[in-house]
Amino acid sequence: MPPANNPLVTIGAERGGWTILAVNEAAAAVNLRPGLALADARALVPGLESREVDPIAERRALDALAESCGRFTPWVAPEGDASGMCAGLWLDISGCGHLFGGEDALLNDLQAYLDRLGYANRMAVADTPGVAWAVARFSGERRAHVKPDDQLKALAPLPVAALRLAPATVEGLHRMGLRTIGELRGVARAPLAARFGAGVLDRLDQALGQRPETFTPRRPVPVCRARLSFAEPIAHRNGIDSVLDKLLEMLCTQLAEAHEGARSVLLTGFRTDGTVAELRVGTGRPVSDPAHLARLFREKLDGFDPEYGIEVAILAAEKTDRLDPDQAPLDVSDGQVDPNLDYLLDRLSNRLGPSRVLRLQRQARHLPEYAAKSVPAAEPLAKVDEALDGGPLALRPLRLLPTPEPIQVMAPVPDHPPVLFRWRQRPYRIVCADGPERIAPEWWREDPSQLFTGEMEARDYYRLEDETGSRFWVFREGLYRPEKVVHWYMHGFFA
Amino acid sequence: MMSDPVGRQQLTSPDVLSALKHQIDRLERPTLAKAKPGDALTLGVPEIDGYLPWGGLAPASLHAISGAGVLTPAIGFAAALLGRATQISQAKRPVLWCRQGYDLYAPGLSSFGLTAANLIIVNVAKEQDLLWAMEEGLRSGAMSAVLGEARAPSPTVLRRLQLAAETGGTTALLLNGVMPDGGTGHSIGTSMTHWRVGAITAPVAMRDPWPGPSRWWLELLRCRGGMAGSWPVDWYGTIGGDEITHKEQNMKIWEEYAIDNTGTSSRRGQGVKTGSEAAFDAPGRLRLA
Repeated sequence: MPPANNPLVTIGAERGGWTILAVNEAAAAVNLRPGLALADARALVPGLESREVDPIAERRALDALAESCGRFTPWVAPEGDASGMCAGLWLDISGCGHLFGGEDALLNDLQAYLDRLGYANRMAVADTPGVAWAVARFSGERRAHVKPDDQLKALAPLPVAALRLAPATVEGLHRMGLRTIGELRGVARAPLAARFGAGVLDRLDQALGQRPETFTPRRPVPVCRARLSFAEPIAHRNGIDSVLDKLLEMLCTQLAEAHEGARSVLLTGFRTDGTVAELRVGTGRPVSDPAHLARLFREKLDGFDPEYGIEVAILAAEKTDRLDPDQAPLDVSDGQVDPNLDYLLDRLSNRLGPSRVLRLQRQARHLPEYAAKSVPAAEPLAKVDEALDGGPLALRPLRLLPTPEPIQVMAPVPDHPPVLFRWRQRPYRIVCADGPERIAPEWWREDPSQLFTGEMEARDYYRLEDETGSRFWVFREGLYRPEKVVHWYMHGFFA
Repeated sequence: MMSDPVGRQQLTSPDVLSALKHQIDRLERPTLAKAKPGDALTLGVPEIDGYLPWGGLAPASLHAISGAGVLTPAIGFAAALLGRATQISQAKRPVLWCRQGYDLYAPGLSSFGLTAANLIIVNVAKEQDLLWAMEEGLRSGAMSAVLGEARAPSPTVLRRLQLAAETGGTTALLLNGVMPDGGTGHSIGTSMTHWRVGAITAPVAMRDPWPGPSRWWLELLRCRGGMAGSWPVDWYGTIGGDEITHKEQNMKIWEEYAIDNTGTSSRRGQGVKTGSEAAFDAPGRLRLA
């Protein structure tokens, strides 16, 4: 929300009338408060500007802001209630301060950043989320840095509402004459717990660090990450190229030290306008070689649009696998350890999509259409059943129609292989035939989706050769019974 | 500077002739200078391999395969070549198959020596992607052969593929659809060889036991530095996936035909009609010749 000099409020329909949900600074200065009816506010401030609240847009804006705050720390979470004045972001800046020259410098940067985007903001940094929340919202300071020893001192004068309690509890505490957290701490714990449940004491303990409090960040925090920030935003491809090289070098050093290899790497560029550009590459095997990753990134870098310039770039290994340097496979003839091959597969998968670069694996299934499945080639090859792959093969076609197609068949007697059939509007005269090979459905499979759709019936497969020498694999569905019409299907082609 | 190593009386010797052919080839294509005749992708049929100038399909170059009337036999022949390529390559490098359909069947492929371990399939939506993938596969040098199914590639595309094959030292196979039966066969200009493969019915005497091996009619429409030819062959498949040795001959020329064809196929299809016409009872086969 851009800072406006005129009072501006957002309103929502509550309790049978328009009620103010949030106010800007100018409105707060003329004593407008959330909860006030719009009619009353209009009486106080004639010509008050108001907008209806849009919770979805607010949530989206908060998420976008959380995303762009990834430039300060990988650990960002929007606060549960996104609407109105309560909107907030959690940032865990443990271990991030040194990147900015101290936590105070980080706060400076963060505040300057939010100011530039036009968000009215207040912030506090403290050892526990509870203290940070309370101080940011209730101390009245725009920016506070609570030192570890000062937690109690900072908390004591704040109202009990600063403990993130339910409104009813706050009211109850007020009725007991407990206004501030300092007063609350002076009261015996047992009666408090008896009257308000464990909630109040839990919040107090959490704020003072006597009880742990956990949050879930918006995105999983990467194992390894490298970060560069620039005094002058980068808007050109050349600049991005060299930044990428530097980041990859930093990231791969970290990976190598941790004996990890990246499986998925995300490049994030934080633009000057608070938006974010992302580019992700995946690899089939854990990789800690900057050159390999650089080549994969170069392929796609055209889709990485800096627009007006990128201020901060972060490269994060989102997914990693163990990569032991002294565990180099001995079996070179396997072909799997060829770095050229790995690179080729990664390149193909990254451009065409992993579902398009495949290996065809055989499976121990009876029905022909389930006897093979395709797996992404970049995945490590699953252990194939030796007996299955090495055993003698019944004759199977080279090509199999994904779904069997009906054919019209002529046979001298019902139980005889066809002498003529018609498929896709064309007749085929059969010269030789071989069969039947009976393939029964797998009754022991319970999942109906894995069975042949329709009636579960045995199939009699025939190999046929027409007069030009083309060979076909057709089947008759179900056993022959005089009273029943039989259906024939074309299923495959032999070379 | 270049002394004449060939004596006049030796000129007729086939060894000398092939040595000269290689010398010419190397002058024409400097990138092939390192390749030796032994690097060729052999078919495993001594008669056909001996007929080809490199003793097989020339290494690091583009070869085209078309279907005659139907595509499946051409796919089978291509699969057989791929299986052979991965088995005879030194490092057992895999092969890449770029296509636009989803009908290849793993149990069928394994009888061509192609398994999940050595065959990588790229399924693409557009032909541009297919050619890109082929080129990448060829250039990388990580594959022992790359096969692409492209309907009507332009001369520029063919040239690019040929260059990519030379760069990576990889054999490129182009499966370019079906050619009409009996067509004279506009050959693929830039490829080293151009094959047409059709189905063929066996004479009645050879039908027992049926189905027996796959039977193909192989036509060499064009061969740079060599002559066209045609052979009926049997493909026995490879039993047991990649465990088979390449010493085993799984492609054979029909016996009665092999004798006729030796040395007589100076013109395409000539051999078919000499003496063995009576052996073919199906009219559908002969129109391929």
